[in-house]
Amino acid sequence: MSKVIDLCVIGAGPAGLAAAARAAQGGLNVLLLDEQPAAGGQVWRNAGAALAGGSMPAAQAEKAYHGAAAALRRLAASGVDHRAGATLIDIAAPETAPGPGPEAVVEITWRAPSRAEAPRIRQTAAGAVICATGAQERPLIFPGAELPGVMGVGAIQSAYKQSGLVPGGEGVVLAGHGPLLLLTLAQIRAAGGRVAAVLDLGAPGAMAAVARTLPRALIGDPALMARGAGLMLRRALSGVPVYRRVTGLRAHGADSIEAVSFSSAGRATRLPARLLGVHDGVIPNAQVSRLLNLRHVWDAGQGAFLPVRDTDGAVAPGIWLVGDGAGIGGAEIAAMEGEQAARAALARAGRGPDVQGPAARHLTRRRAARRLVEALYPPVPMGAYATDDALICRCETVRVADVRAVLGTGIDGPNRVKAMTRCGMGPCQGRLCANPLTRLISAETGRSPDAVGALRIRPPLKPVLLMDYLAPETMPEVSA
Amino acid sequence: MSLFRRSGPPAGAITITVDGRAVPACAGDTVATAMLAAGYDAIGAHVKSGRPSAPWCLIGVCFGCQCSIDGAPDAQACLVPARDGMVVETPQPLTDKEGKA
Repeated sequence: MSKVIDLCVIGAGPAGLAAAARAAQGGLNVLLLDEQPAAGGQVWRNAGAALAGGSMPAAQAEKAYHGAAAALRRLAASGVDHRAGATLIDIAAPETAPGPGPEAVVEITWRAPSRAEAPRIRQTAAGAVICATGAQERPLIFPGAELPGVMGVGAIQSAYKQSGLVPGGEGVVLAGHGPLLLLTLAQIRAAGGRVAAVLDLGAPGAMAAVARTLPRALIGDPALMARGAGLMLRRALSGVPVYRRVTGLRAHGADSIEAVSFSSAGRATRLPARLLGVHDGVIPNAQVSRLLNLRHVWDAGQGAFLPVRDTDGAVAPGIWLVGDGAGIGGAEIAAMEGEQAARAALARAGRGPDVQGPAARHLTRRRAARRLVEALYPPVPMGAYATDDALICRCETVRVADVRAVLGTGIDGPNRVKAMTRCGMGPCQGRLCANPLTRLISAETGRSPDAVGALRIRPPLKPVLLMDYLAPETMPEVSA
Repeated sequence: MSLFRRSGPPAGAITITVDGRAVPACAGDTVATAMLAAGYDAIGAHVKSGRPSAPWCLIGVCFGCQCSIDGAPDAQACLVPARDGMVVETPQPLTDKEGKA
């Protein structure tokens, strides 16, 4: 297959936007594929429309979308071919591309958003690819988590940014820990909503790690530290009851959540709940790095596997991984990494000297700030709420007990557990269960996450219809 | 009562059809946020368990909002912008010969 474009960027969040715009400004012809309806990623979801006066009050939009307006203007001026609603299906691994040099071609398979564009499945040959596929929330495993009305606080954020939706009425409970939970609490209250209680699931007593990371964090990113302290203060002043040292978390209900029960400091409590927002931090969306079969190393601070990268984010000739999809750092670090990878891609294409941008020094400082966030909010231990009857795989309704039973027979790898239980075989393809499964096996067997490993990921990266491969003239009549 | 209410300025009113019922929505919604705003806590039933299924992530990860949209049977409602006249059908549980989920 001959090269048709210079660079394909996957993901239009802060990292992908920076990479695409920088590369296009440097003279590369760039295709930007993004699954979401509009550019911005999750942190800047719907920024274009919101800043133009849709979905949420203007004052809120200014706060929520710090930095977005400039990034979107830069994209618009760059000449990048941005396809919204495009789904990544496959990336041909570099070893299967012809030749390792700058002439190597990476083959990208993707799905166009609309059936009117048949065949929806497209193949694009690119000289290079920068993957910026972002983060997702880490699922919290506890009984009843699959009931309607239980969702990630990231989903509450997403509904707010997309459509200005705010939890309404009584029975709103937040459970978990971390900056996103504090931000969501502040936003709900600013929009006039009520939160009945916060269940703090954070483990107390990591003070040594906090003290060790605090000084560099204060120097590295004082603005972030101030925002974080402000959110903590607002929670303290909000008067919302906070339950600590929570054990035995469980959601109850028939067709949707009706109550949440738990013990706090040893006292059994049951609260009525219609909406339970849960949060245990964010992790890289690992589908692409796993698809590419890269070496991963467990990062205890992030509680996730991270792909092993060069300093500019390169993982193979002509392939870079940047932003939260390669390791959680937040929007500013992501944008810097995107810039850096684009510079490297330009150099590789003979369009500029291979110099590290001014970003490198700032990157080091901002990453120091991230270490404090990790020290403050370590992942909730796997065993804390994962009772036998809790679901670990929603798609295939696999319970923790099913995995424990298989482990009891001496099977101890996630891919063998998958074969025995179907954990990870449903439509989400392990996005929700891969991280919990590695941690559960590690906790049950006493082996390190690196020794346990992770679910293998294969193409297609999202379920596709055979029909989507067909051109209109060969399309059969299909009744839905 | 809906889990969510709209906090922003009124956007252009559109109508989508969910399982044959007219559902008011706003321009700029995704199909998933339109349904949440209209009071759908669940988006159909889980095909395996038969239990109500609902969005958990709203960013295209969890497949809790998978449904049929304008005849595309595998759509993720959180990734599809709502358009006036759109036809949505929510999933029903697979049943065996005795009609059990």
